[in-house]
Amino acid sequence: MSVVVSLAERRTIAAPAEPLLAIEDLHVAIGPPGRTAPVIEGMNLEIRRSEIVALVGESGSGKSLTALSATRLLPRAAEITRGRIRFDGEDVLAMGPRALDGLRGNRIGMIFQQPQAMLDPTCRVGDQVAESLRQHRGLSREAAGARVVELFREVGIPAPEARARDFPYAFSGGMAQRVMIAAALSADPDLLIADEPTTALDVTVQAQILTLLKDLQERLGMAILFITHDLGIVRRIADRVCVMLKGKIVEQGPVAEIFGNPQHAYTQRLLAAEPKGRPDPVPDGAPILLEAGPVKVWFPIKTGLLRRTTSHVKAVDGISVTVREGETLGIVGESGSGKTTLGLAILRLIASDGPIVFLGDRIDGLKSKAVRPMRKDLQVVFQDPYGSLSPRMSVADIVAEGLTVQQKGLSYQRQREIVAQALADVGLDPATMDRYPHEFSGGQRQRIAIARAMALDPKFVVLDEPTSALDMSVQAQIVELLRGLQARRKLGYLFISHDLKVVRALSHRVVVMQNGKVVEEGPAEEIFQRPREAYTQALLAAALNLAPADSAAVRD
Amino acid sequence: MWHFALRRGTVLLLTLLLVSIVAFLIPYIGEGDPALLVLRARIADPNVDQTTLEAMRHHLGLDRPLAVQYFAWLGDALRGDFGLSFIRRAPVADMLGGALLVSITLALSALLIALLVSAPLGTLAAMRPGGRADTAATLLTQTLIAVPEYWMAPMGILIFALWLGWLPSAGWDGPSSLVLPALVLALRPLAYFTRIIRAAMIDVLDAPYITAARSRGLGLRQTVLRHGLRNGAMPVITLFALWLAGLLGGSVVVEVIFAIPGMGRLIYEAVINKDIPVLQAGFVAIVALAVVINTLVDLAYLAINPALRHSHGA
Amino acid sequence: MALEAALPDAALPSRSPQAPRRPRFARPHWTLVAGALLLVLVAVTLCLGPTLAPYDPTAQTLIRRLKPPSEAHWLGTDHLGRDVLSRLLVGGHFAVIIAAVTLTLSAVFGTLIGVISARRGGLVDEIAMRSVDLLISFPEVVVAIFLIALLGPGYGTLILALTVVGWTPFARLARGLAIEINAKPYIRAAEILGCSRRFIILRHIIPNAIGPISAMAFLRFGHKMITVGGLSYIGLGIQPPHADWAAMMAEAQPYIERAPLLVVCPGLAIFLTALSVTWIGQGLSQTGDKP
Repeated sequence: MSVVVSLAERRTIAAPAEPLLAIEDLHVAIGPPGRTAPVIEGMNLEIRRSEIVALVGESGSGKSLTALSATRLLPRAAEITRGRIRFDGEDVLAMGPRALDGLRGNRIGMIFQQPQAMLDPTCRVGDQVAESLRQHRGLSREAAGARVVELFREVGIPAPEARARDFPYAFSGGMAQRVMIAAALSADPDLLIADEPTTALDVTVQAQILTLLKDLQERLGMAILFITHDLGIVRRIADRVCVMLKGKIVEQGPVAEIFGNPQHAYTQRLLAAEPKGRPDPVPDGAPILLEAGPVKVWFPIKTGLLRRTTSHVKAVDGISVTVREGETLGIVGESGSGKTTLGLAILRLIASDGPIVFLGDRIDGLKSKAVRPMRKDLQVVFQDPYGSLSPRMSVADIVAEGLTVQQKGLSYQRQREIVAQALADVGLDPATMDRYPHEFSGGQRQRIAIARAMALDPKFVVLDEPTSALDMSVQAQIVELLRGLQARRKLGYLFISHDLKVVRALSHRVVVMQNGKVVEEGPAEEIFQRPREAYTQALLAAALNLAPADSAAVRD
Repeated sequence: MWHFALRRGTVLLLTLLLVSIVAFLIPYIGEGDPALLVLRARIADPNVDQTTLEAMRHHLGLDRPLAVQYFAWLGDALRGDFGLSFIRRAPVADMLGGALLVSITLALSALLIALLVSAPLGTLAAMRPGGRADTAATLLTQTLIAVPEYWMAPMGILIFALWLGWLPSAGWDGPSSLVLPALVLALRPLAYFTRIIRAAMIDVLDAPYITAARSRGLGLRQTVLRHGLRNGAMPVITLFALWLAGLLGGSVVVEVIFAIPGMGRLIYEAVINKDIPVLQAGFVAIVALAVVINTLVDLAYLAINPALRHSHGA
Repeated sequence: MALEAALPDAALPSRSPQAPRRPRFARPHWTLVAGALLLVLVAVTLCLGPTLAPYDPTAQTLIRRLKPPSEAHWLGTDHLGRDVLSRLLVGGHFAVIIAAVTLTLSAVFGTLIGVISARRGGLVDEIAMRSVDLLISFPEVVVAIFLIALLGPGYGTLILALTVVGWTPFARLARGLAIEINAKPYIRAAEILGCSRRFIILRHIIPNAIGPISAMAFLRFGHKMITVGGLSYIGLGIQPPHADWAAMMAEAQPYIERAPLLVVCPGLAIFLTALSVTWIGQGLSQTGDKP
């Protein structure tokens, strides 16, 4: 059974000189047999007992593979080509399968990014957590079951006995992550490796999970290797930080030191990467572009033998928005708030109730054919830079697609001129217009998507989480770009996002949504400096300082 | 859950009803006059005089309204009475039952052989995609898909029966008669099973929940057996059921070559001899089997994945 | 998934984590090449068959029955004294043509049903897919036998009989593709740009769907040919006096011990033809994927 040792005791028990985990000169390559490419090239990392070390880097830096290497759980296409890994003095790379099984879960626990995917969908949750207990501790069924309930209580899962008998589909992201934490800690490991455990969660849930991890760490005294791209998280919980770039550590040290006085250029760039600035003020008398509301989008739930509509999912329940020329209205909310549905309704991609007036015309009752001519002025940028560009079309074709439909009379030459101009406006080299999307990075692809929207010279653009899938440094650039475009072209933006930092950098006014309804709305400064509602306060606290709030205001 | 079962049940019944109507109408498409058919089958003389025809019509009850005839037929059918075969004058239901048993034995044997070979082969191929086992398996798969069973069968007979004398060349008496036909029939499903098992295993081996379980110290083999198998089994079960339904009747060519008294051959001979009652019963049997097997697959899914019981649109 | 995120795009030279399935100028898979070559060989043989044949394939010379291979008859003669090689050269026409026609009809009809079903959704979709589920499990040969029983043997009947069940896998595939492609953000984006439904179908959906559908058509060709052959074998398919590989095998069955070539050669012909087309289908579906 786990013996709870205080932090101080743990620190004295261990020989302070010997690190718990030591990775030396690690090289990892990935790829199909015979065509592997190096991903980690000479990485060095040390973690001491009871220490929280953050491993920071952007996508592609190799940080996840580092985590998996420590327990030799690399994907089949990857292999360690060189290096040494020692855990508590033992050579991990020399261990046989049984020794590794004894290491995993028992001395090193792991939690991952998508908690719901980490559970067997056909098996009850409690059984899955109990498996390792019975393996490592030899517990009987009943004893393991009881311990599982205990663990669930420790990680804050309400009604633990009932929940243990549930299947994974019944768990939300935050709850599933609590289950994974319970499972990882069940055998009381010395080291917990956490690979972006909060990235896929809502911001308020993120804050709760971080607090939980910090609490557990203080009580159980284990070390944590926390992998993340979010510097806010690092600030909040880490003792030391290692910055990783293209498979190597470029800088490491205590958090305060590194953040206060970064030496390496990349670290400096990372720290500077937060979206900054504020939008230019909206000129007086700017005409209203869009006036909608109250908008309702209700999805019927059909149950019973005859599939009768018994109730509705009220995705959007009476929301009103107004956007003027040159203004950005930020729609903020977590998953399930209905913000994306609202955007789709305004774009007339889905049906809705309630008047929507665009440039003086009612568009809500129109058939799709009638809406088409208006599309010239009503454009969109989506979240996914990979899915929103057709892989089989060249960049020029993609950007020109709207032109071929809306301005049929244009000559081929003129089309290409417009495309070149649009690409230049978004900061891309027009000479690349005949390349294909797969040759560009995520940030560049998002610029292409913006160019596609701008090619039609619209007046109003709906932006649905345009920066959420991008790295932090790229996010800041896209925000700058959008601001610049707005100022030059007097665009109205409907900016939908869960990322408050980005919203703050772009919006003039903000609407906070929860469960399809408006919680609070007003000028951006008001909302950010003096939030009135509890939910808004919780959201801000979580997003900006990663501090959790009262659970009453937030659902998990 | 019960709503789901009720809906499926209704669909099942409606389908069977539709099928029965079509089966009943079979004699009316084609030749057109069942009385004529019966007479032609019984008497060698192609010329039939009117009085005999009328008498036969009355005997068969063909002067009743169509709907009445249908319900009479349906009533008989539900009691298991499909009439007498035109050719053999034996109850069709008995003939069908016997043939069905033979076909099921043959089909299951063939599919089990296929499964026993393809499971390790597909798994091996999945463990290192692009490796040697995988390439070999792929080559084998592609070859087997293109092999006609009516080529393998005579070849098999030539080598194993005529040259080596190990196995009988035809007939259906004793387990040795089963070997060659089952092996021949197993070749193509083997190819398809290997492909799907390989794909399913690749999904399983790369699945996040497998990594998560291993990160808790559970061994690879144990984890794959406990968790991977259940998740990966579903597409395999679907394919197995599809092939089973397809072989019952679909193995007609092999049955003809090896002179095996199965469903396929029964129907084939009924076609040649214009044995209408057998055709009708055969039609109903084939469709009913397909429907039953489909439903069993759905039930198997629910059994394997308890999560479906709760999350399904109940 | 965390593991896919672990595959960095930095490692693969300028490729996104989700590389497109068929980039424009991909190196064709070896099966595509091999299959195409083999098919060309087969096609040439079939087309030039009648001219290349040394003897009249239907000429019977009962004196020279069942002769082994010799200089006069490279592959020997069959039980009616007909030259095996000549019959072999012309024996594939009908099977190949019928299989090709059937597949084209199945693909077109099935794709239409699948796409309409996906677009309409609701009850129409459910009925269509339930029918597909049911029909797909029917043994094709038996359905064909039934239809031939009702309508009499003939090429039209054959084609109809095989299409009746054959369209179902295409419907399923097309529906799945339609739903998958329709859900992609770039289709939403095209709608926003003002593209009409027809434009989207022509410009986006069909080009993205044609690949898998034609791959499936090629892959099923071998199966169809073999099924046609099976029907011919039991006398319900291609009728004499037209030469057909499968019928040749059926006729040679009683003489298999004396002259095994009579069975081996036509079987080999069917096998190679089916293999070549299967390879093409395999190659089409794998070109651009990792091996």
